[in-house]
Amino acid sequence: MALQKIKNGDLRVGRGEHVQWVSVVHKGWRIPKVITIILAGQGAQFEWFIAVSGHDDHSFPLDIRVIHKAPSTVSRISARSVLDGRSHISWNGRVIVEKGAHGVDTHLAFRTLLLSASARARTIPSLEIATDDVTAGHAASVDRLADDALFYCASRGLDHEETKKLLAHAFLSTDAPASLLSLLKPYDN
Amino acid sequence: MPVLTKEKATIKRAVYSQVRPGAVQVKSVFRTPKGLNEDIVSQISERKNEPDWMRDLRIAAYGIFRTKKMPTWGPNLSKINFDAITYYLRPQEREMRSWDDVPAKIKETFDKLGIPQAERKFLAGAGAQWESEVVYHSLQESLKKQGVIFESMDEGLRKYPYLVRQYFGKIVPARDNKFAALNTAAWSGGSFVYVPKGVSVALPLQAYFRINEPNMGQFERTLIIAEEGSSVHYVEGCSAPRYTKDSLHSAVVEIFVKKHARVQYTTIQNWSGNVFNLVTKRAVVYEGGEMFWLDCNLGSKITMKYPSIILREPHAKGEILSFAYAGRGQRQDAGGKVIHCAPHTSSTISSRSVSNQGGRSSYRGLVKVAPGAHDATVSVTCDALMLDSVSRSDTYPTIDIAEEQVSVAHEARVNRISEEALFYLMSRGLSQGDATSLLVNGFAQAVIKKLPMEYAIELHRLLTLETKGGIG
Repeated sequence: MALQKIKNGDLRVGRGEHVQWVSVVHKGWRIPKVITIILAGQGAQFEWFIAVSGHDDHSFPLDIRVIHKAPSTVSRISARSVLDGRSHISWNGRVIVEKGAHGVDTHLAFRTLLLSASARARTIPSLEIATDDVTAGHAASVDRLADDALFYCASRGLDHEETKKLLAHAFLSTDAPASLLSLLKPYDN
Repeated sequence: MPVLTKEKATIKRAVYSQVRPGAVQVKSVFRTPKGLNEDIVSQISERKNEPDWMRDLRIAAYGIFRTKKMPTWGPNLSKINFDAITYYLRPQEREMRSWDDVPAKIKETFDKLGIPQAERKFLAGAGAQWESEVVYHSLQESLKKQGVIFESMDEGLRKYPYLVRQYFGKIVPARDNKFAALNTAAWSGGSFVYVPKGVSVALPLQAYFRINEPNMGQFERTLIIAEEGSSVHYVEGCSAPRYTKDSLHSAVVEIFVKKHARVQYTTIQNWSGNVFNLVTKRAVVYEGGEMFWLDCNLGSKITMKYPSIILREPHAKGEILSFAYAGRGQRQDAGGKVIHCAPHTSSTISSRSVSNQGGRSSYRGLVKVAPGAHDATVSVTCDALMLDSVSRSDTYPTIDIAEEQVSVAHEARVNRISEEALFYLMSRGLSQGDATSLLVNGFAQAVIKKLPMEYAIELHRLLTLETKGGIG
């Protein structure tokens, strides 16, 4: 599902339910979107893979809140962005594990590849954990194209633009589920 | 039934300053009335015979303090009553030059603090903060010859006003935040360190801080200037007896790390459980310089402390290593900030926290890479350990990148004590308490091993006692 079509609001995942979202985003928006996911029933699972291709002056302001209310709930959010031109992301991810939500397993990752000097990334992946029996983690990274990869591609006769597209596509498809792979067209802006 | 040995009782007294009935008090001869207003601010300045520019700076800062709002993010600070605090207090004792001249009464308190014999000798070259003012400051002869200045801030201002004026408030101006304004208006005590070009100070400079009066705020101000190619290690240990009324500790530390210089600032903070510890610490690093904050936060009611590094010129490096322990009723809101302003700069932030008995520890950090700071590398890792189900652990990392040629990585994990490891140790005959404390010490090892030895031992003992439930 395309992220820009998701409206602000809540998603409740009930007991034993398993929800998987896959979002491929090419167009930005201005007003921050606020999306809250509530894992309300025992054993609820939520997975969300997001791939963003930013270009020109697109902006992607997004607030994601994940609230683990019930025991043994699982959430996985993995967002990968490739930013070119003057595009920028401003992402605020907040994972809350409430008291009594034992056995929660959660991971939140924001990974960004910057292709231009004017692109900008601002990410705040925060965790608020109020019980001990949890496995909680988050990761964030911001990187540029690796010199050795650029060199390797150049030595194989690819020009810089082609290399950029190839590496950006590879970056977006890392860890992506099969359903997302089919949606990811070769990176092209 | 294990015997509460004399040794254990001594350790308790030594490492946990809260448990110290009968701590010796020194009568103060001058104190300002409670609360703060422009008159009191000028009074503090006059009492210390400060130059006019400092008095004006204080008064202007007081104006800023009045208009600035309390921070709305983070822990709840509404319980601080600014009108119930004594802002300046002058002890009877004059500045002393050597350990032998330090009055017996003060030595007795140090004794009760449990400072080891060897360390007392080592205190030549250390300043001790006694009720807002440094009472003795003995500088090693060799340092003096090298041109190193290590004075109390008040003495520094008296002796080297041109130097102080050049640097004071330049990294943390009064306008920075409400508590920086309060400190600028009411500061007293703290250290002034100046290391000339090319000088390497071999032994760490140490200062002991104590709050010795109920409801007495401490607003020490520390300024460290490390000139080109110099290096220095400053160690600050804080301890305070337990009092029933809330007290406030609001310090400001400013550090200039010039070209190719290196500064390490180590803190072991162990305030009593009623202290609000709200500190602004910031360093500016010039070309090829290196700044290392080592920050251990134990004790206090609420701590808000985020040592910051501004990497201002190319090839500057910064490292922040912080450890926080939040026990019953405590909130440790600690972390670190790094701002990359120049190319080829690198930084590492590593944070470890333990929450126990309902305590709440938070990591709050900022990594900012400004446009033009290409080839910056940043690595942030946060590990949190929760010892029971009523405690809480939060992570709030802000990452703001405005440059393409960078490499930034952030990792955080929140875990509890591994049951497998606990089972293994208990199957080898350790009690649950011993096994837990061993695992917590192992968790803190990354920090402990970087501390000077006497502090490493202190932290190790303190953690052992805390996690075994020996104190409470």
